[in-house]
Amino acid sequence: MTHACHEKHWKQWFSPQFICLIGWMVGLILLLLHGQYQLYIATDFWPLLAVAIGGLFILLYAQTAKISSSSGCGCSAKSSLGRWLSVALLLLPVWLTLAGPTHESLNANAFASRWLAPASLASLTQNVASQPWGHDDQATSTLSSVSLQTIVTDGPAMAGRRIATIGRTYRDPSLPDDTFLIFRFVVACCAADAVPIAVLVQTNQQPLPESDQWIRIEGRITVSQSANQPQIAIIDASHSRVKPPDAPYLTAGW
Amino acid sequence: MSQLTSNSIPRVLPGFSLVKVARPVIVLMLLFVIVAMPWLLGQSASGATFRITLVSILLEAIPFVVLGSIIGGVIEVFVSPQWLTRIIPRRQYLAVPVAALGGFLLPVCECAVVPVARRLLAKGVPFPAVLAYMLAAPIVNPLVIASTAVAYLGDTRMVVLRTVGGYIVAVIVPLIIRWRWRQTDSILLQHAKPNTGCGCGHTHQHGSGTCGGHGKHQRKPLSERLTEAMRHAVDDFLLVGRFLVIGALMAAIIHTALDRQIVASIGASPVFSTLAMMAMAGGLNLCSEADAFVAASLSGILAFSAQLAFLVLGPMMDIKLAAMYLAFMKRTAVAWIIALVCAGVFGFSMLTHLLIGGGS
Repeated sequence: MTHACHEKHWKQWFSPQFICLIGWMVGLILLLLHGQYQLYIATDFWPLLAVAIGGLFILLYAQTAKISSSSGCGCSAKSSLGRWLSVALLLLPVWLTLAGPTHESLNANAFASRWLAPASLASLTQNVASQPWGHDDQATSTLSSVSLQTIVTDGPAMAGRRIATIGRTYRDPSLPDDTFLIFRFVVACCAADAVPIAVLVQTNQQPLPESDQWIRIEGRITVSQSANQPQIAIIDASHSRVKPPDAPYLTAGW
Repeated sequence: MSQLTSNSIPRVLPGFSLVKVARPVIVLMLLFVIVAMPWLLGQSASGATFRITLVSILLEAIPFVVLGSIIGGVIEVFVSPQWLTRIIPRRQYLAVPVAALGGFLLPVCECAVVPVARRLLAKGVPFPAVLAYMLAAPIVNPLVIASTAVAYLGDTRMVVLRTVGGYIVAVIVPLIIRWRWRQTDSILLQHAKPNTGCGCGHTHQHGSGTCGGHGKHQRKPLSERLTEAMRHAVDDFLLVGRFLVIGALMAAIIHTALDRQIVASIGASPVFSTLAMMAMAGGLNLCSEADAFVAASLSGILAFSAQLAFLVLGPMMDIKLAAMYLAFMKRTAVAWIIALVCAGVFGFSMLTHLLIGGGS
């Protein structure tokens, strides 16, 4: 192999195509192994990433064959600043996942921009406050752990029950001093389609948790009516800080 | 008027070109921004939303882009133009409605459809037929029909109207494009035009042995042909992937900046809520198998026609798709397609509103 030929061969191994394929494959494998993919896509969707890794492996194999073959067209050997910018652009998502925070999921900022409150927060609080706190017919003392999704969908049937659930806090200035929102995101496929769900929490435990903290709530469900819509709230609640769950999003359930 | 080119810019010194100096500086600045981006985004809560949304859009799309690229590569090497000519009706006004049903045969989502379409074009399938397939396949396919039914708890009105609306728009738009451009090949960029060989994005001559001898696919052993197909897939993946990242970047900015309460606040007017939901569909870039869950969450807040417009437009045209179309179509054509698709979806939604009312 001549010096020029050797240099060309070296350049092909470090070609933008080769680096992009390797970068994406390593990035996806790390996300899958560490479970961090759950910060971006629904937990059940891990097979899709496995398919992508398999597909990229096949493409990488073909690319390797192209480099080893002497009949390659050499197009990939050309290297320029613009080409490397393309590589950087293609690898940007991988770079953002590997170099960014490792446990960060959609936060209160995303909640505030995506949540469609059934009424203004202030009026919602008034509706709940106008109800006789904690005098529902089905009042029980048994504590059951339920997801926030269950509370939102089956709340009217759970009125009076003592429940425990986890979620993230959202403090709004328009809410009274003893009240805040607990929220989660429900995803169908990925965080881009995440829809927030939230329930009002009333507590006598001070100080209230800061906004955006993961907490466990224990309290009793109460339901009031507002514009013919049931408004669900958790009252007499106690709260404690918890670690963020591995799977921060709830799934829409196909 | 003469066009301004790098050559026409006056040179301050002999041998000095402003463009030549500025280009590497701009590229280096962009490289620096990309490298510093994780730190920059870590400084604010909105930065985190942007980062998570961007990565999630791409993680969801990448498996389908890889699969689409592989399917495209297989089409390139294993499917002969003669076979495609036999199965696609010769008359384009017949080929378009048939191609719009292609999603049932090859059910791919909007991310996977672009590399497949590129290869079909290179094989000589008429552009209007390929466009009909590209527009319809992400809606008129069994997976999307099923996900819409689940999200709307079996509400057959939405399932049927979404499928029918998507089909009608996907048939009408290519026919108008065919009428507007008699020579539809002129819409395509050079590398995507038929009869230029493999369509791998390079401008070299094929069949001369300079690129592995693409002209001799049929005579090679199976293993070599498979490797050849995957080489084409690599080219497709990298070409389409670049545009996908650019589209996802823009979509993530809109996701972060858009307050959905504002969109919901104009829900009372069918015209404005439909337009707002169309803008949202174009900006959010949701997968066609997931967007029904977002639309269903707006039931009771926005008019039925607005939800329908969101579900029909999103899979056909959004920022990410428009960017990916630019990988093989001229900008004027992409602009025409965007305008026609938007007009078609708006018209269909308004017609639905008039016929079945504004219930949510």
